Amino acid sequence: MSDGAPILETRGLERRFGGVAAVDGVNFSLRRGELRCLIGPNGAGKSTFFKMLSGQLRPTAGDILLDGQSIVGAQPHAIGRRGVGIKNQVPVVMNGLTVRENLWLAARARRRGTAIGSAIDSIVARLDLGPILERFVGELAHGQRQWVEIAMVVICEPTIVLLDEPTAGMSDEETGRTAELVRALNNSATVVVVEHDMQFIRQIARSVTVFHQGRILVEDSFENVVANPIVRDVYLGRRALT
Amino acid sequence: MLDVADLRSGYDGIPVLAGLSLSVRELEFVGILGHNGMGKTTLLRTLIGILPTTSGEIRFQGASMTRLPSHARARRGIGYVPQGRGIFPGLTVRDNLRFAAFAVGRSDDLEPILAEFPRLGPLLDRPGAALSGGEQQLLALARALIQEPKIVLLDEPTEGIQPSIVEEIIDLLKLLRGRRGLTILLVEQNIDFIKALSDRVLLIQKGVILRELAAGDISDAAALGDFGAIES
Amino acid sequence: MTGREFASDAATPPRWWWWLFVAALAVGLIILPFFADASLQLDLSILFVLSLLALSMSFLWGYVGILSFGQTIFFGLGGYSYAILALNTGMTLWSFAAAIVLPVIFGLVFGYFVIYGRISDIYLSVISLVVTLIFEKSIRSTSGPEYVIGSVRLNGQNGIPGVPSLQLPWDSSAQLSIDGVFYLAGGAALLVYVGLRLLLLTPFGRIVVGIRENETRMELLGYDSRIYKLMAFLLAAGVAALSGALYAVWGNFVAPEMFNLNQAAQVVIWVIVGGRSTLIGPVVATGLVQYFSNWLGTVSVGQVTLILGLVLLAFVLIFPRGLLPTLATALVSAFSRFGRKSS
Repeated sequence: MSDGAPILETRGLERRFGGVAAVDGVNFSLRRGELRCLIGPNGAGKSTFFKMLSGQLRPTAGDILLDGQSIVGAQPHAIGRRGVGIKNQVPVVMNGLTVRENLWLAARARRRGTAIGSAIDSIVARLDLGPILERFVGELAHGQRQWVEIAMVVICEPTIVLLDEPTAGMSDEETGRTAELVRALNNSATVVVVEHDMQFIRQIARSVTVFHQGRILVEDSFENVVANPIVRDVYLGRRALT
Repeated sequence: MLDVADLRSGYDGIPVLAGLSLSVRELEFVGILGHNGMGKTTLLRTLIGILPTTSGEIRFQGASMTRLPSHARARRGIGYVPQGRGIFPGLTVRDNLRFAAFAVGRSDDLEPILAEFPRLGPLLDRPGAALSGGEQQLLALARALIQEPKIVLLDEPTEGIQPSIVEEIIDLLKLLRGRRGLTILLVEQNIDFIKALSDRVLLIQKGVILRELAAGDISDAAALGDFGAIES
Repeated sequence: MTGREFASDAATPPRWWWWLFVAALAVGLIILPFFADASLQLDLSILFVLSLLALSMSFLWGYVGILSFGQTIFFGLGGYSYAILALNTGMTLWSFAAAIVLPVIFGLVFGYFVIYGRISDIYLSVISLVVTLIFEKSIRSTSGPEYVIGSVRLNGQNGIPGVPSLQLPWDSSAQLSIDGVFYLAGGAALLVYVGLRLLLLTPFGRIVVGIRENETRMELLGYDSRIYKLMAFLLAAGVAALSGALYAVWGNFVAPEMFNLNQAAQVVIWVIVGGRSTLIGPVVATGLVQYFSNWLGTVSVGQVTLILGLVLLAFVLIFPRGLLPTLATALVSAFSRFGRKSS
């Protein structure tokens, strides 16, 4: 499911912290229905890039176009309403509330009445959250808190899903399930995933964008990116999978 | 070096560790694998003393540690790299490292640790909060090692770190084992990392050690068994 | 680790014994004037009035997460608005209503700048304190005869005396008696307490608590946190204004002290001692602290304020969660120990 018009575009996007440019002139384009992976060394600017897309950070220069409309300076809730859902690198969830209450708040953002209950039931079944439903999120293990955040994002049925390291802290089996989930999400949404787990990326990736020092280094298919000598040098390492 | 007997602990009335026992010999690298919520992080937190022990014994180098406060355990030579990094966001990289050295009365000369972590060199004056997630992870690791611990407890140290740096960490830790005499108890999800680094691997489920495997066996999915769904 | 500090199960409907408790309070309120003399009723009435002020802050701080040292702004504005309007117009009931509305309008302007300006917590706390002190200083300086609103002199630091009590709605020549003030203040306090507790069950209440827990995540979900915080702020302002208007009706007198640092600090003390994670805690603490201060006064202990400060210090150090949450936890763990022993 993919047509020509870019659903998300950035032009010369820049974000400086003091003298340091975390994101340094990024021209990024995402087609509707794509499943894109974003990889790159630590400090390359991936999470900062994501935070600008979701409105959590303001760019210091450049533009972000969502469906052709600039969203720079828009309030984060407005961007959320326009269908951008983000799962952050460090889970951003309501730690002092139960999983159920977190899910309720996510569902209530777009739904009313009985639709809220059924949305919660369906996501609980889909992600197997039953056993932890009444636990306080702050007391869950790190990986479980990630699942809660993912569930909250999915409940909102976003048109663009940004996943920042969704498999961090997950076992192989859980990683496999996340890959399935990402593919399923891609049936109805455009998805961008930041990850370090190459096994995971191999399971889901079609096209891969490589960030390095705040800029896009290369954009290509998974096989080509993994074989790229510069990428191996700055990121993958010598013993990386082939 | 580290002996744990029938350890029980938990949060606010919810028991997590249910009588866990393990031993780590000097210079061993021991890995712990397990699903989320099975007790991996709880185990390390109980060992370092942030979480109180409900019952059971922890002995380090023959002496009991069960009732010691965590700073005393740190001074005895137990290093800890928590999940989620735990670095001080308001302090610079330099100060994060110096603080750690002061806390256990060691020299705050940064040369040796920077030689082991060259990537932190150019970041010395950056505040912790301005580092990327992976850079923070490196800092957390360096901070533990600057204290010259006898044993290091690592909670998912490769989470969020790019593959090439993961390789560097493997090489570095192996080097340090020989050079400094380092012992490691490692909690991880990254099977490749555990395989490359550990001498043996313990599988944790529902707060106890289920099985022990030699590092070579963990590529075998059958040996790993089925951990089941996310449970608490 | 987090969360347990707050009644995060606030979204669950209160249990049967809470309803019983509320019913008991209501019954107690109704029958008390038949057994108690006027001076006890007056003492309790002022406690009810101040409880409303405590509730306004504990709601705002405990459940919304906004620490405002300036709830006395609305307390003072409520009192003064009632005094000025009632003395000018003689229409005490309309004046009472206006005495709640006018401070809320001020709250709208103040709240808009602070909340939409995304001024962060600590600055908001300080700014609200400064604003209440500005009001105090300004009114203190209005001693001269030229400071008049309508026919009412502001009177500077002497305050405005002779503020009329409320007329009865069915007989405007008659005024509220001591019993009447007691029922009004008690009834208002009970209704506001129950109302706020039940508000937490509504979507609005749950969303506001969500915002307190993690404003970023709520915004990412699509909630405009600013409008929710503003509405909660106005609600708290209204409750504080109600408290101020009732104070004027109770004492027939208003003074700049309603805005001052001492009054503002007292509110903070009630909430910290009672526990900001509950609504009833600060109400109980208001009673305890007021009786304690009065008792200190009667046994001629000179530095009441100093002692209150020490009490606050002790609570922050020893019972950081406040009296009621600490008691509740102690009771729960005592019961569970019984449970374990029997198994």
